[in-house]
Amino acid sequence: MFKLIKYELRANFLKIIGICVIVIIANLFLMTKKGSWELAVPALSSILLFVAVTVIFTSSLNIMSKYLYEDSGYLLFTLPQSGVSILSSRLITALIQISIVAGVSSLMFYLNVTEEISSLFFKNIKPGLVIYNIFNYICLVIYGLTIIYFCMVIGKVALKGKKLGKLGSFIIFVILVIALGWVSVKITTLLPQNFDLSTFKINSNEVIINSDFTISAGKYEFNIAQSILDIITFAGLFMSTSYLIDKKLDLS
Amino acid sequence: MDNILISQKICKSYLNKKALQGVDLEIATGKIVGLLGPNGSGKTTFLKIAAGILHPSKGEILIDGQKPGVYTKSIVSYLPDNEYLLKWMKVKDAVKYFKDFYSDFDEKKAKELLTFMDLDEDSSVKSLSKGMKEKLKLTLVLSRNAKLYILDEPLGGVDPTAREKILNAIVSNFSANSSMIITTHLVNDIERIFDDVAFISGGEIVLKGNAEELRMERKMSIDELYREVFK
Repeated sequence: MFKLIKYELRANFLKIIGICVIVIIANLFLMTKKGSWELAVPALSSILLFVAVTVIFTSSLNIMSKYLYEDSGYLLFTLPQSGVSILSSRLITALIQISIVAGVSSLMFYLNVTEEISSLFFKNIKPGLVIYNIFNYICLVIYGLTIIYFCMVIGKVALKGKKLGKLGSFIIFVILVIALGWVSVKITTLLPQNFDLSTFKINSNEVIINSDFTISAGKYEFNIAQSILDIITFAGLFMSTSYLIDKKLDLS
Repeated sequence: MDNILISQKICKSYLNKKALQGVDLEIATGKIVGLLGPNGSGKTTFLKIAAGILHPSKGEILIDGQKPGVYTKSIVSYLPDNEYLLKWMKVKDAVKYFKDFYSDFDEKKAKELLTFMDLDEDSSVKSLSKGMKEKLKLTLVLSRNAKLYILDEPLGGVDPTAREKILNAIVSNFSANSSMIITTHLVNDIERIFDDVAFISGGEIVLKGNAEELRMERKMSIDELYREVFK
């Protein structure tokens, strides 16, 4: 699996570097306009962050699509690697790529909006909050990609032809997201208990709809039922995708 | 003699199209088998099933006693008829890639074959001509000490001189402990290396046997027999 990650990163190394360089140069340009453009600077910097993350996220999906529909799949899927290994490597590689671009873009955004780089910024950082946000971010990226990869693979398995397969994958994705959203609303309404990570207590004061995690008034909370549902959904989709890759995937 | 590959009534259907209709085929250890047939006869479909990238609709295929999966992929060296190497790679990256993923990959043999094929390790894969890419793919595939080699049109798109070179590479790198299945349209060029042949048409094996026995029995070359069977 780690060898696959190594080659995936190597294959996309230039793309990652290219996006980061563009983001840095564009933000440096925005810094020179801080005095004249005023609010447009942070606005444009945040747009840059959004666009850069979207581009690298889409690129991660394109790589999977190429493996499923183009000749490069013959190289990957004839390797003595299991579906679990192939899927895990794709998820980890995508997470690393997205994190690098998001990290660089966020740092440049911070440098653009801050008046001065103060050591107080680092002193005020709460380790718990950082860990909580990193964990939340990793869950979000991995969970989102797992849903999308599942839809891509099942679309390829169920429907023959590139266009039909891709369209089918999109339709399956929309249906799956709506279904998961509906179940999520129902389950958080029925079981509103949240686990407060700052006090390690369970409370049911707030109903957090469609979200595992929330930060309010210094509390780090997650809805217990929603989180269990997400873990089950993730495990189910991950294992199903791995099974489909091993047993059902036909390359054209 | 042990059979490295046994296929029993393998069928493959795509909606209303039947690509394979009950293919029975055995490949004995130490044999080079030619799977011959016209376009759309099911040759490539059968090879893809053996390589583990297509799944049969019916029937069973066993390679070294196991269904296609992670184990069989570790003992099967498959040459597809497309350009599957990643475009960012240089020749040396492709060699390293195979070395990293296949425990039976022989780097020394790969270097010898690269020299034999006149391939520069520092060349970029995307800069190679079709014939050179074919040579590189063959170098990578033959550098493995695999139990079964599956070569889909190994002479496709290469000039006659290169064909001879490729054939020599195949023969000199083949060991008695392994087996090979080859598909080709260029029967005349390659028939000398076949031990056995199987003719496939419409997804069915229509004739199979020992190449030399067929030549003696029919008093014609395999190439002539091919033309007669598929006329």
